[in-house]
Amino acid sequence: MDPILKAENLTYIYGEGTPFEKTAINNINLEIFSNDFIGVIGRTGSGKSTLIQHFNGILRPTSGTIRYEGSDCWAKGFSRSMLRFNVGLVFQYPEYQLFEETVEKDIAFGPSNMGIPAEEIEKRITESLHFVGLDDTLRKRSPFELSGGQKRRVAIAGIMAMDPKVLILDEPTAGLDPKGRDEILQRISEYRAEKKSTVIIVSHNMEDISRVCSKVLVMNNSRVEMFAPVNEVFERSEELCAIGLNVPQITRVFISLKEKGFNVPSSVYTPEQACNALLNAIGGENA
Amino acid sequence: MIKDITIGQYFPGDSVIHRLDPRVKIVLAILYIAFLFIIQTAAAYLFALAVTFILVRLTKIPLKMYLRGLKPLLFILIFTAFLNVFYSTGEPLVKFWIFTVTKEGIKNAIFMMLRIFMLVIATSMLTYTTSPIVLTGGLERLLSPLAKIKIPVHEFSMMMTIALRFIPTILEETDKIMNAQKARGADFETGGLIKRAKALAPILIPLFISAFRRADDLATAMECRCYTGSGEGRTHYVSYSMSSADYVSLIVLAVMIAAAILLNFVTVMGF
Repeated sequence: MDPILKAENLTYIYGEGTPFEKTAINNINLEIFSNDFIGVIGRTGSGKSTLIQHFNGILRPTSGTIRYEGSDCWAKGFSRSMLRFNVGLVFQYPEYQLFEETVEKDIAFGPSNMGIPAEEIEKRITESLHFVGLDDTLRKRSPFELSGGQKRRVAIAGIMAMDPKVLILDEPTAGLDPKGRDEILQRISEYRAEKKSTVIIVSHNMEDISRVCSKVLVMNNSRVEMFAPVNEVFERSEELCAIGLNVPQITRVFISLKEKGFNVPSSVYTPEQACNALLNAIGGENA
Repeated sequence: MIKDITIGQYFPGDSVIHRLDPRVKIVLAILYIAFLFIIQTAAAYLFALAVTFILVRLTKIPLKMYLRGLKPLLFILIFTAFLNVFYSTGEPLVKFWIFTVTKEGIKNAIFMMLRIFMLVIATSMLTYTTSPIVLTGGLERLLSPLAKIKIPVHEFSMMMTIALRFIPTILEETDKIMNAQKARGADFETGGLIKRAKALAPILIPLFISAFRRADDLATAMECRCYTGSGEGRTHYVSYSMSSADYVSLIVLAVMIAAAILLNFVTVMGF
């Protein structure tokens, strides 16, 4: 299977030629396949946001290439508006981009830029409101009257309504309370399951990523440090700690247990796995 | 794009020029501009050019950065040179149709271009080496005698400080919002005037909302710290004091102006 997105020696330098020159991402190579659920993690300034802005052609790489379904996104004749419709990017704090009078008009902004007929847009508004868990009665309300969490959902729905093949979300849970956070993550994974789309989530939060993603991309100092399935990444918890990232609490408990001499795996990251591992360990002692 | 604007930009550094007292720097910049208008002869211009390059070297900011600030003025520069070449009276060199090119015209054009060139470098130097906050602080101190005749100097300088402080923030925000709307397929580059004006709504509305939010937050934060404007007994966190370098630079500039006046009497090959 061919990758849907592929980065080859991707490098981006901010303010090239000025005293403020800074390499944001450095020689990145990676492949993202259809229906992947990827969590991008890294400290502030590690290049996460810069990397994802290359995926939909907002930033032009200083060197290297980015390919969508095999074709170079910056080659002559490549339609970047097509790319932006296929790779939906939800920026950080997307509620700050709302501008229309009503929720439904704001959600319709993306699809109408795509030239989709009115009835189809109508259908998509209903569908995306449902995906983000907002009540249909909010449609005619002004987005500026809503609560912070609701605004965030309207903004996410605005991208979902474009029905992109790849959905990228930059810190979708930043600034939300734990309940709001859980719910948004839950909605996003339901969306992915139903649409069979590719989803990329950028986050600081290991717990968030471990809960929903299948693969983790760890960024450090403008480079890709690791890119592997979740359990493989958390097995390398020492390296993660060394670059200033945390592993989920459950994983930390199991690492300590292992250090104390218990026969448990150190790559546990969900409550279910923890339960099984503990039962195994206890069972093992009984036998 | 938006980030390419260099006018008013500050390049942090630790050169002699960076360390000068901002009040002195503002006075120096004004005197320097006066100096540029005093010089008349080729010898004086050469002297001024040499001084300018030495100053540029002293700031330790590459000359390239200064030249970048000149780019938007290129048109004005060429235009004034053009006018000077054709509209000066004097000894005609070439004549065609209604135009006469005179020796004085060429001289004036070259001098005018050099003058604008040095003028831009001098003013850029002031903003390149002084952070906006320090600059307005210096200006406030310089203008503080005006407060005696009830001119709200402090309020003006506070407004200026805040405005300057938020320029990069708002630019960054504009960039972010533009990208976010581009990601939703917004198109700002094609179409007629009305279509383009309409395309600005998705940028301007969020931008205004966030600017008002920021203003509100800032006002609250200032009130929390008991800001009441220029009340009685308000002191400054930084107090400026003149160092020997400041006195030396003032003396140097005074000598320069004297030298320029003298050089105005020296003519090289009739220039």
